[in-house]
Amino acid sequence: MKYYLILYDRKAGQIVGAPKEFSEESQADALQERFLREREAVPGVEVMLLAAESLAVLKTTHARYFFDLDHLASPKDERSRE
Amino acid sequence: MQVPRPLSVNAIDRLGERLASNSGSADDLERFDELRMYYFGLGIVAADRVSQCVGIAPTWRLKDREHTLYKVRKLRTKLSRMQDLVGLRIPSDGVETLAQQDALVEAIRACFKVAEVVDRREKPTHGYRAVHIIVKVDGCDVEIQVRTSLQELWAQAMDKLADLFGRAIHYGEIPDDVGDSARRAALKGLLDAAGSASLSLGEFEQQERLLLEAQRTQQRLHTAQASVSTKERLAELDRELERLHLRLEQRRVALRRAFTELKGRAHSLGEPA
Repeated sequence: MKYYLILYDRKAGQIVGAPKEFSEESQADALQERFLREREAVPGVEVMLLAAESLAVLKTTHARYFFDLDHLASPKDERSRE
Repeated sequence: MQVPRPLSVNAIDRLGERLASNSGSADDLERFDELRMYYFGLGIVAADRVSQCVGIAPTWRLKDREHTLYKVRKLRTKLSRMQDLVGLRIPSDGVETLAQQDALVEAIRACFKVAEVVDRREKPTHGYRAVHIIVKVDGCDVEIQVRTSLQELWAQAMDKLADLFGRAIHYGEIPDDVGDSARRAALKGLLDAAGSASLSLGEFEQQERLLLEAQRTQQRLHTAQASVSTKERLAELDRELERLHLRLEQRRVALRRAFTELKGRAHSLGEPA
């Protein structure tokens, strides 16, 4: 299991920066960084720590964080490219 | 990294109310994060159990602070009773049919000593259709969501609208501050379309359920001893069920197209005019 720290601008519908990946061994660090970022975050920016086997799987279960309009027409095609 | 539950139920609820009303102190924020650290441990346990028991690795998350406190403030949910502080989601790829969804739900339910199935196909919440399993881990609730790919598409469209216009959208409300009248009308139109789409999915699932039952009955009849004329009639019914199955699959494709379009329209509302 890996952990992905994501800052998501809800109105813009986009992730701010790139997802930060943590290994299973670094889960405590990931959680502490999430709490820290949450305290610093501006309103409207969601700070999420998501756990998944891979970023590709996460994109299927939590698509709203990852897909902009260009990807919507054929999300399965997009995923299959990964 | 499981740690002891840091607070009593009453203390958790009081903490939630202080933070939700913005009267919480820096210490309260520390306590809140300690509580969530505890729940994080529960998430690890629950996800491991599902992975080992069912052979599918769920994704999962700890609910974000703002949304958690929104639920305490707006919905009057007690923090200690919030069932989705930890939420697991089963990837919907490969979960196309109700039969597949049912089988997964049953398999997951059996992994836990205490598990309550909340079937939102029978009672949708503001159009939202899915099956949630509320399991107990260390005496606390953990929510596991199982959706078909069509249910997932619909939920994603609504998530997008909630991002743009606020979380109240999820609870059937249109916020006051959505913009000018044209934007409000566009949102209203989209929410109406989403409501109709959910009803269409409900009808589709009902037909799917009926066909499934007919196929099971047919299977039983095939295994029973029958005369030649009965066998001929069963063969006719087989062909009829196959035609119904094909029609249903065509409808599934049409719904997928419509839901994808709905999602696209939801995203379009977020683009600059």
